[in-house]
Amino acid sequence: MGMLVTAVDDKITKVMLNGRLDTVGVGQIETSFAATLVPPGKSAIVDLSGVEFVASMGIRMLISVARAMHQRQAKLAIYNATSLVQEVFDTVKLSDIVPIGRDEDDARRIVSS
Amino acid sequence: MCSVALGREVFRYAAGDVPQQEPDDPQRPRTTPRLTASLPTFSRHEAAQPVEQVFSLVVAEGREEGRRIALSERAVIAGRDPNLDIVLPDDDVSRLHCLISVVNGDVVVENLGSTNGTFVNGQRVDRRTALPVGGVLRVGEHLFRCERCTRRDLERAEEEYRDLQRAASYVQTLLPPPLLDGPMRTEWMLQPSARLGGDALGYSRIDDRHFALYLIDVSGHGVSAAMLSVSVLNVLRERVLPATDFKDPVGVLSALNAMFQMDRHDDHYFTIWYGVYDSFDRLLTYATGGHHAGYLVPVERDHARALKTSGPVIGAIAGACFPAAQTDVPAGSVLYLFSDGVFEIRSAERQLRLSDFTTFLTLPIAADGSECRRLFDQVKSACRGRPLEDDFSMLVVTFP
Repeated sequence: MGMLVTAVDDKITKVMLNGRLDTVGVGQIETSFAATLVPPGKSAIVDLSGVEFVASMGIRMLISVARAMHQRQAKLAIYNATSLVQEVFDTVKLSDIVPIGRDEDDARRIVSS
Repeated sequence: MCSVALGREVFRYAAGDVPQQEPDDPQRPRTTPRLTASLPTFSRHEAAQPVEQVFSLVVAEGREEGRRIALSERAVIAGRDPNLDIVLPDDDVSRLHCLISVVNGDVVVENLGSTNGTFVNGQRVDRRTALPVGGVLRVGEHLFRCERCTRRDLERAEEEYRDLQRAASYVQTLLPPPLLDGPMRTEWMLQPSARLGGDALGYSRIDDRHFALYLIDVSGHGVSAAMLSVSVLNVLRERVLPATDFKDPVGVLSALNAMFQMDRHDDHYFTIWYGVYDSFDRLLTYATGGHHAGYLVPVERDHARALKTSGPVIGAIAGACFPAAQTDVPAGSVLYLFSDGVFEIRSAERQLRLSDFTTFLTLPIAADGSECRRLFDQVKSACRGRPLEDDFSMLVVTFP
């Protein structure tokens, strides 16, 4: 599981994830994902185009971090999910908890609003 | 000087340190008596005694990941046979697959005629082969690492393994027995991918016309997921949600959502399919919390009707709404409820999805009536015998 962090600007962090967000993949990045996004109190967008599969542990990680960021008045949005991943998100109604953008611009607009 | 013996240690009070028995005066500063301990001493010979080291196999990948198995001169056999020391219930593992033992201070592996082969560090074993410490043994999709550890560590690991087995057996005792006779019949299968799983299921008669059935899937698997699934299962079994009518799926899911918010449960959420069958009106009322559809297949088996509503996962949103829906239940219909571990599998070529699995549902019913086994075999066949990555849970209900 790979994770690449860049700064979009001084208010938004961008994270690109690659691989499978299953138990093994989540175990590899969960701590650094949370440590990168939660403490600064900045909003973040997560590009999922490189994520081929998301299991319940992956959804749990996204929800937990989004909730922790919300407590710091920061927002998290995800975007570019593949159709297989989007199907999983639709089943659990993830968009009720973590906003899902159509693309990077849409995700940036969501966290900036 | 007085002394007090506690186990192997002797504590001595110096004369002035012994507290006097006086009336309790809250203004008086409390002093702690000064203790000097006479600790046991060891001779140089005792301290230098070597700690006994033993060989063990650690499951690095496979169904019992983390389990540690003792190795000795007495050979252990791995294979599909359920009576073996190492049971590997996969299609690409032979009944008696390979033998592992310690010979002249080395761990050695022998293939027992398995056609799929046994591998040590990637090399196929065709004669007795040494497995060095740190080396990897592969049997089918299962990987074992050879390690040396102290006997004490090994005993601790074995005790932990037995504990987990007892916990898994406790979870099984919470599940209802299959209903084999009577107008409504049920069967189920629950196969955790780890030693403990996060799935649970159940059903019970609420009154003479209503029958409740449900399946829950806690995020992740393993001990913490299992503990939450047992909590939820007990709440549903004993019907102890406050001010809740268990004939009302909306009320049940709303009450569960209030009771099991993620921030109070180690950030775990769960999904649920909950339904109530009214046998007088032949109606099934159901609601889902982040769970995929259950499927109702009529006796003609010409289609599978998806039964799902749009509620979110349980625990993520305080005060979330959980709509319900209703369907008629034609005589002889079969309802299939299952966890996502049933279809979130990888074939040799790709990741499968729900629609791949639902095509299996309308195939002819199993000759022996065991639909769970038929579908489990279909799934195992689809993933080419690889171990399942998630819990496989299924509840099948045949309506009168």
